[in-house]
Amino acid sequence: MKKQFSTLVFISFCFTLYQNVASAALNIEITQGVAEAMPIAVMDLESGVAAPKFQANQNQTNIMDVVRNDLRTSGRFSPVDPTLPNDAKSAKDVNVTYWQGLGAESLVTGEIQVVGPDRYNVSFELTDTYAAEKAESSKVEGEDLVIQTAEVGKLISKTYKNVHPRDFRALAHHISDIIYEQLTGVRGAFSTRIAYVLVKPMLRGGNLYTLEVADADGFNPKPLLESRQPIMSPSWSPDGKELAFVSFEKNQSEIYRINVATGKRKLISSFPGINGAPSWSPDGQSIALVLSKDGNPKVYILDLAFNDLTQVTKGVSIDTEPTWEPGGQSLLFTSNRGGRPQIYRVELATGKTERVTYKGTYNARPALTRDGKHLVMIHRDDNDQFHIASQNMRTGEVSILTKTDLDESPTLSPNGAMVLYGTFLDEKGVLGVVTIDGRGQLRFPARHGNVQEPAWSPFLS
Amino acid sequence: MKTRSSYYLSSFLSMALHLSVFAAIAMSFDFNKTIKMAAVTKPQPKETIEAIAIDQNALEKEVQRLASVERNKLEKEQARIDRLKREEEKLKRQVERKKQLALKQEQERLAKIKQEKAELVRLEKEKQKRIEEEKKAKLAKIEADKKRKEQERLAKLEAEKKHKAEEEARKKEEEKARLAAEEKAKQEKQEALIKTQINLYAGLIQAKIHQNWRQPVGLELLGKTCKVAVKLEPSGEIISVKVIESSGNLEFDRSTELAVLKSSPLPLPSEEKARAQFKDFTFTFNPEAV
Repeated sequence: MKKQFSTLVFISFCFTLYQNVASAALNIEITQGVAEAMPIAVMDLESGVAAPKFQANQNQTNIMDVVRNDLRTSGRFSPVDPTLPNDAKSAKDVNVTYWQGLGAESLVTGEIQVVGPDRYNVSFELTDTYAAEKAESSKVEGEDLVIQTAEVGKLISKTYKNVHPRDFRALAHHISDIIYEQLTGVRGAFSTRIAYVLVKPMLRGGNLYTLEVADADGFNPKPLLESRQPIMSPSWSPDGKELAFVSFEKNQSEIYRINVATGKRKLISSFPGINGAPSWSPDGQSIALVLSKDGNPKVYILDLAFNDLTQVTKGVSIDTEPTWEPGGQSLLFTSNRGGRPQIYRVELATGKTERVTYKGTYNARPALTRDGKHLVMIHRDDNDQFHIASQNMRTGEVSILTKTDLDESPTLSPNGAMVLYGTFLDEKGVLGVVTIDGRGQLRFPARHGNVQEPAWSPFLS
Repeated sequence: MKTRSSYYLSSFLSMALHLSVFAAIAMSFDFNKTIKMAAVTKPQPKETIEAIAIDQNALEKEVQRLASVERNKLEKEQARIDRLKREEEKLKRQVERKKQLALKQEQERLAKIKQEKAELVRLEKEKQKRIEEEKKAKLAKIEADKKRKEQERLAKLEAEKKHKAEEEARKKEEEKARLAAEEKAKQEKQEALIKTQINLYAGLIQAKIHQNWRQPVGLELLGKTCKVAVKLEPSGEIISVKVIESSGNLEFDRSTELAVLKSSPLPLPSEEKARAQFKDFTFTFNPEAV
């Protein structure tokens, strides 16, 4: 009796203790934070510990400037001021607490060394500033400054040898890709390109249309084709080597394919009526396009090898803007068969068609992320304004991504993280970039003339 | 139940009765004759005969008639005598039967008496037996009562002893329980204080992490959960942070680790037991809908 009683006391004691904690150990729920781009300190490249700081030529690209810009325009990063504290000669001298004080979660440092005429060795290192703290210790041994912190927080470091200055931009984009992937787990798209149409009003009247290809950040524009008649709807081949596009050179719409490197092109569709909205299939073997030769505009598939044409959509509605779903087995397209423009899916094997968008009175210009999770499109909101919106394919929820109106031609980066689109600023056509969740909004560098109809290339290896 | 002696007695009586009956009959027989005789000689009233010229036939007839009448008379008489005889016999038989009956009844009566006597004897015996048994039973009962009373008495004593012992034990237990309850109350109070401290500091830590958690942009945050295990120095300085249940997204996981690292040192209670809870614990990052 005594023994039972004391056991009972002991057990109830344990229970009161148990009530204090969620389980065997204490667990604290964290439900809030502040959504912000990741603060990162990207330091200019240094020319080695002993040598004086590397001075970039006027013409030479500041590699880390490009990296900072890449990271910023991705919307995910917020580069902090890369100024060293007064007495520091090198970023490596600086205690990690300095970077933490700036709020930087990561640190990029690097070196550049001349190894020959127009030949440099470039190396960089990405460090986790908070993980590094614990193991910090630095000691001076003679003339050598031995830093041990870097080893613990180091995420990645790489060296590139014999780099020519003309390749500095490409190298910078490559470094940005690496940093982006290390910190987000997503492949970076900084080494990709964009195609678009530049429209310049001519003095004599009319416009000059130029099909251009540029780096993903808008630099290094390279004209592929010029025309006095409209050029529209560029679409990249899956290997990134060609573009399909619509040209009105012959005063009627025709579809061409053009090699980006050589500029050589070939006519692929010139039917009576509309030839428009080309979209390259994921396997590169065929192109979906819109023809009106049999009546209203309908979606067809053109096999490039055999020049076979297959009609995909039927009926009297207007069907346009086809885009392939990642598996290559179905297309998304815009149609007014329900009365107003909405987005539909058609299975190529069966011809079975189903509606995909249900929110709003106008949804068009489908662009699907590679993982099939988000459908980006032009969406008319309750105020009759056209925005770029993203529909969650699992839940059907639609969220509007852009604050600008009169937005058009959304195109997705190959990692699905960004949307490039056409919009107007001060009555001028410009390109805008927004992150897939709508949070990061940026505008591309303005060009002379109106920029429209952007198309983002796939990953280029 | 007839014993031999009663049998002899009854047969003797029966014989005696039979003999007396026979004697009675013999005597009565004479008596009957006398009566019979009397009946035969009863005089008849004389009738006046008137003399008149009679026809031989008529005379013959008359004679015959008279003879027949005489014959009839005799026959009648004989019949009457027979009838009387028969009646006598009948009577005799009746008497005989009556006697027999009486005898039988007497026998029966005696038998019945005997039976009743025997019955009485038996009843008496049974009564005696019963009385005996009752007596025995009574004695036994008295004996049993005595025993029972004795047992009860002993049991009562035993129970009293036991009860007393239980009382004492119970008192001891109560005292012990009271002390234990006091102790427990003291400890519970202690525990409650510690609990309050823990909750308070958990709240402070939570607030600090909330301030320092930079959530990644460009990600869908809802539905992501990440569990992080933390080890602290007693000062609140962080020894280690480690993701033990990933959200599936690298950036999200990293942001949770950084949230914790940025918050070092964490505020900790001064009470030792409360502080011990924070030596080794976890955070679960689970963004709510905004």
